[in-house]
Amino acid sequence: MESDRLGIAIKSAQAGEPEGFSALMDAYGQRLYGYFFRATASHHDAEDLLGEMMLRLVQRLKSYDDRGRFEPWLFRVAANMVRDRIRRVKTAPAITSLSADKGEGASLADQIPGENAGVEAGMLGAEASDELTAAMEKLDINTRQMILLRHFGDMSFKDIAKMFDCPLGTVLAKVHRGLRMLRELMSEQ
Amino acid sequence: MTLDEKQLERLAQWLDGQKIDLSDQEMAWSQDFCSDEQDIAGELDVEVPADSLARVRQLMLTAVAQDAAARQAQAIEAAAVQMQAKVARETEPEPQPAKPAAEVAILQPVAAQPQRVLRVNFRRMAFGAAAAAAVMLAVVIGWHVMNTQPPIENIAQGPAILSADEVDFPLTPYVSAEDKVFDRLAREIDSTEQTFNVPLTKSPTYDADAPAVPTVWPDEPGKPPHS
Repeated sequence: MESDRLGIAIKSAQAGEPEGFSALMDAYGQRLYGYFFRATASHHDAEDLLGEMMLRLVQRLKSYDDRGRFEPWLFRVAANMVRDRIRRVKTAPAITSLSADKGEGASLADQIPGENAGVEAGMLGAEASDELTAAMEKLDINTRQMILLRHFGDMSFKDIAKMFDCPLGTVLAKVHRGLRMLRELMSEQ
Repeated sequence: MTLDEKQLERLAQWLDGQKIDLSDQEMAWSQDFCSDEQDIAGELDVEVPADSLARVRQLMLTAVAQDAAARQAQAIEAAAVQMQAKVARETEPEPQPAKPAAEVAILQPVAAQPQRVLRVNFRRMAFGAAAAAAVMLAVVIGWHVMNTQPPIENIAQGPAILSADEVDFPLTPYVSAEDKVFDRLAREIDSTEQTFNVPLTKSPTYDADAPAVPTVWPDEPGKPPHS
């Protein structure tokens, strides 16, 4: 979206006009949905998070000070939502059965710390169907987020480094390593 | 191909769009990185279900409408509060320079300061009573003066400047109240005699030289007859 049109849409939305929010939805709806889907590997979660995101936008856009950095701001909010969602899934009490024979939740054996595949991996596995999603499960959550923010949010390394509070070179190294790993995993599959 | 932290930082800045001179090694590394990124980018794109976006859009527009309604409600509430404050300001008495209590009581509504009005009314009542008493006293004094005129010789003396001979206005003789009563009775008798043509003072039964007949008063119970 051009910066002029984006500025007009933001001001319109800040004034509470539905047209402004619709314009923002047109501009970022698909990219945000793609980001949420790749982060959660679930269309249901992606839609849920996108709806929550737009509601937050309605509430918070009034206090947003537009200095031409709307996209980084938007995807930072999105990244925080994904992080919160993953944290919630981690801490939420799961249905426990002595054995997982009937497929009702995780068994006690699955909850023993140690060789745990990771909650986020299980979350991703909910609708993991394509090769890329399966490959992304193998990445650590930060590397995955960095790659997704770089692609969907069009964020600079500087912004990503600031968001994850790590050196610039480290971000580039992680993203490079993650991309290599994805290529290798996809070529194997 | 391995790069140190410093080189990676320079490369990141170059990839962010900053103008940095890269070495051949760094340039080769960056081309390799961009190639990987482009390859994965094609895979990352997701086909978004149209109904999902439509539902989210509807949810968002509903939230916008609710937010607008809430804003409107807040604006109405704020306007109402402002109006209440304005009305309160207008109905409250403004501080004014001190005025006499009676004037304040006249200007202010009765309901606003009933105690003050009540006090002022008492004052008015007292003032009215005093004025009425003064008027009555003046009337009584006037009546007394009218009925008790000084002797003629005192009036005739007049002011010290004038002598008795210099007084040229006619002096009315002093007439007592008893004389007035007798005069009036005489006038009434004359009037009655003329009207009925009957000489009351010279009645045939009237004899001025006849011995006086003692008046006999009816006996009162328990008392001896009056003689």
